[in-house]
Amino acid sequence: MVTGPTTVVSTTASQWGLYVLRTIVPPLVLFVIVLMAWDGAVRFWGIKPYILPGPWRVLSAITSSRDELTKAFLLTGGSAVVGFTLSVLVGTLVGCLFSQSTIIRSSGYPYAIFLQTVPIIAVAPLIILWFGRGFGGVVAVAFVISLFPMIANATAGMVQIDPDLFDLFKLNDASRWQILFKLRLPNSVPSLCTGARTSSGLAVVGAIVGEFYAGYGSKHFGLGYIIRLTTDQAKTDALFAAVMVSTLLGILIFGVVSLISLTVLARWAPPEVGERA
Amino acid sequence: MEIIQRSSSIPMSAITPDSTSSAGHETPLIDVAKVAATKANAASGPLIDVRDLSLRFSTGSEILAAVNLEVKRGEFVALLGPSGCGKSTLLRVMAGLIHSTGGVVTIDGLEPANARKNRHPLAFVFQDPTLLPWRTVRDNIRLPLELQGVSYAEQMKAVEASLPLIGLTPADATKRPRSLSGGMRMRVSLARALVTNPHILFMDEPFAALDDVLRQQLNEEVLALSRQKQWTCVFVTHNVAEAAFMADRVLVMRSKPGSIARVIDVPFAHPRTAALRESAEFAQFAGQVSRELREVMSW
Repeated sequence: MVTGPTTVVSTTASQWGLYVLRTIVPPLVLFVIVLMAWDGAVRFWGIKPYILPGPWRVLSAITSSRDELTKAFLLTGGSAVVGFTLSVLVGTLVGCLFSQSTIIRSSGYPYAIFLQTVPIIAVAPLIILWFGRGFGGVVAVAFVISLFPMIANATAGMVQIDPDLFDLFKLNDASRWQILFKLRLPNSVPSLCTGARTSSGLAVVGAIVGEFYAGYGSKHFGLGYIIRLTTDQAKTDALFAAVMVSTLLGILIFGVVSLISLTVLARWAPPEVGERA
Repeated sequence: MEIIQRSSSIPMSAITPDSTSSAGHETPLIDVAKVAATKANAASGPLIDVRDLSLRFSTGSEILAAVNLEVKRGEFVALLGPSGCGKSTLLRVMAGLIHSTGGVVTIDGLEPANARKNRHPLAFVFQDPTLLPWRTVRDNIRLPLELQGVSYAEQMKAVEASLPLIGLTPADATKRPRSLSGGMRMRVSLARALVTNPHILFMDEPFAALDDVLRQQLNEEVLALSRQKQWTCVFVTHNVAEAAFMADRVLVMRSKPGSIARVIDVPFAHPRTAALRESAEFAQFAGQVSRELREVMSW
């Protein structure tokens, strides 16, 4: 049918339009409302700029130090991405290991939970001590803080499998490797994507916390260093600027990971699965 | 465990070749040749032999007790019983997926796992299609061969051969399971079972989730295929009409613990078509099996 492909394309385009309308427009509208309320509150109550600078003042601080913020954005973003990538790889490998035996899982899982429960502020100085100041130490903190969600989700995805599928593999005399690579790993992809979305945000937090302690020196520094420096100097507008850019970094990394997840999951997730408010 | 074997109580005069002509059949409802062949087969010994089988879970609950049954080569046996009576568990024990705690299961004299590897390839069709959602239909169908180390070229050859047998087109082969209807998914599951060219086919209520029309259609197709391929089939169902239509023998199970309570020979000849279901003889036989089932359930 001649109109078939056109219909499909227009449907897909309208679906994308609807997706953008539902996911991007509402937070933007809320952002504008918050900015207006923020500006109104600062003007109405005459709040001092060192307590709460207005949005225009923060915007001005971002513009005036955009070169520094861009460099810091790239440096913190780089360490967050490396830490996050390491947590995806190591978390998946640990999940593979945990899926092989109940004994291995019950022996190792409490130590994985330790990563989740230990206060990162408390161990970050220790990690910096072991891995050194600078990029390596920051990556290590980002890695440690973002590892647990990957381990937990990878393990769940590789263990929680329809028993009939195991029976199918058993009936065909599948080896342990075949079960791992043809069943457990592909089955865990949706869980891995969920874990990756959580870990990506945590990796940014980890990189910034790591920079609180590791710093990089006055010529070479990330967003964490700027946040700490501007706090010490009571430059609240510059602090807000750094926080805003940090938030933007977090959203960007989360958005990219979510987009990759959606693309990958197109092969997995049934389209009829939806959400209800 | 005593197996109570009852022959059909349908009077022979009621099931005659004459009655078939009115239903549009060319073949007689009573398959005299098959009865003779069955008797001859009995002498040569069963393909699947279950002796004093029992199964008790570690929690102490007794699932199966003193189960005895035989399935002959090429025979289609239906396990019929109420939900929870252990039909599916018995099927899994016969396939070697669960180890019994007592008694013996042999396939051609070997343990099921050994028989499967060395002599009699077997396939299992689950209640749900159990397809891998990340694989296409073609990749799902070739999975058993892939796991068994068959070359890719051979896998593809077998897949292409199996598609038309189960009513799938080459265009269906490139789709993913999520874009298929329930009936189509079950067809893919059946194709995956027959791609290994099995000698024995275990089916665990494969059509339970389908609507009645589709269920009947698949009943006819699978039955015709099993006759053509000479499979030995054990088919679990709780649907009396399905058991009566497909099986050569219906084994009625009782529950708590699961055991065989009745063995009923099905008197209808092959090939069986949709017209059989509309015949008075079929309704009478299905009614008789229902009565047996109710009796067993009331124990």
